[in-house]
Amino acid sequence: MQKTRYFPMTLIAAAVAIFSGCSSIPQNSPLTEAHSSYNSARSDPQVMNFAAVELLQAGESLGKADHALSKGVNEGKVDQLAYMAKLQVGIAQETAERKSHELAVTNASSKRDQDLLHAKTAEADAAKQELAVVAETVDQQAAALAIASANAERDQALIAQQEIQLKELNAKKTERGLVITLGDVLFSSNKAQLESGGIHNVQKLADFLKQYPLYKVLVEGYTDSTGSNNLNQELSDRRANAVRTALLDMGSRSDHVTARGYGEAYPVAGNDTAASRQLNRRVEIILSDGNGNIAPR
Amino acid sequence: MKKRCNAAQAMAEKDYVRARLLAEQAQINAQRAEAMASSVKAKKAAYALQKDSRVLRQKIDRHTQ
Repeated sequence: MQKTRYFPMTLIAAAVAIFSGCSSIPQNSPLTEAHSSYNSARSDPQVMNFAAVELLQAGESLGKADHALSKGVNEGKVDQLAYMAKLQVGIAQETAERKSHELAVTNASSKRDQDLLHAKTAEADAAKQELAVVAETVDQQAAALAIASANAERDQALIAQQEIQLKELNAKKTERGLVITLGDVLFSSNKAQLESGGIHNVQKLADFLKQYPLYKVLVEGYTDSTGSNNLNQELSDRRANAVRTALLDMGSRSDHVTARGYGEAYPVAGNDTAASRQLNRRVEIILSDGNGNIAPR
Repeated sequence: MKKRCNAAQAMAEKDYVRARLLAEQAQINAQRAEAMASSVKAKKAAYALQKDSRVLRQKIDRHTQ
């Protein structure tokens, strides 16, 4: 580099020495043109950065041309060297151009790789997050399922227990629901007082109502056809109420127990024999459904 | 091309000095043509890649929105 810069200086010094007395330094127009190209290339940082070697070659040719001119070598030789120098400057410029584009390619490639990497990372993060959400949902569903299955098991156990209790109450399934019949033998004859066996049965019912507070009962009294209607109606009322009172005494809620007498209506057997009349003298307890509803007569 | 022909012609005419000059010129011309071709090729590659990268960038941006 430095060498090429010194050449023009030595040229000027030599030219001055050789042609002293002359009014001007000898000129060669292709060489002047080559110098001009060379100088503009030198002031281009892109050329200096990317094509220093190529520019050095142009500088060497220029130096040789300057030297030839100063030595007074034939014009053709100077022209040739100037021509070479000018084209070498062109080569340096093209080379610099090429390298700068190549650098751009490299940079763009790495930028693109980086973008892709970022995109992939973002995609992976999103997928991971989605997976976490799915996992959480699955966990929640599994937990809900576990609770539901525990509840179902408990409900089933409750239903099973209830069935056992209803069986113990001698409850029978009828069109109106479950019906517990307290027979005539559980009452003193023609009286509304419950015998101990009847009390025992009513106690079981009271326990059941306490355990399942959604249930209600309707206590219905019936008699046989012996005697006057009024007496029978009165007896059936009293027997039904006696059972109701017993239930309330045992802790049942008053609004959950309703009593009603039907007298000799709705017999379950004929009234012609003592045995069938006994069947008609009874108290029926209708158990509501799980929501407290009882089908009326 | 022309210079090479001229150089060959000068050789044939046994004008060796001129033939040598023309041959040198032909060689340097070829070198510069090659440098130009390479630089154009690199330029095209750079532009194409920059365009591709821009498209890719837009795709990524759309995708991540």
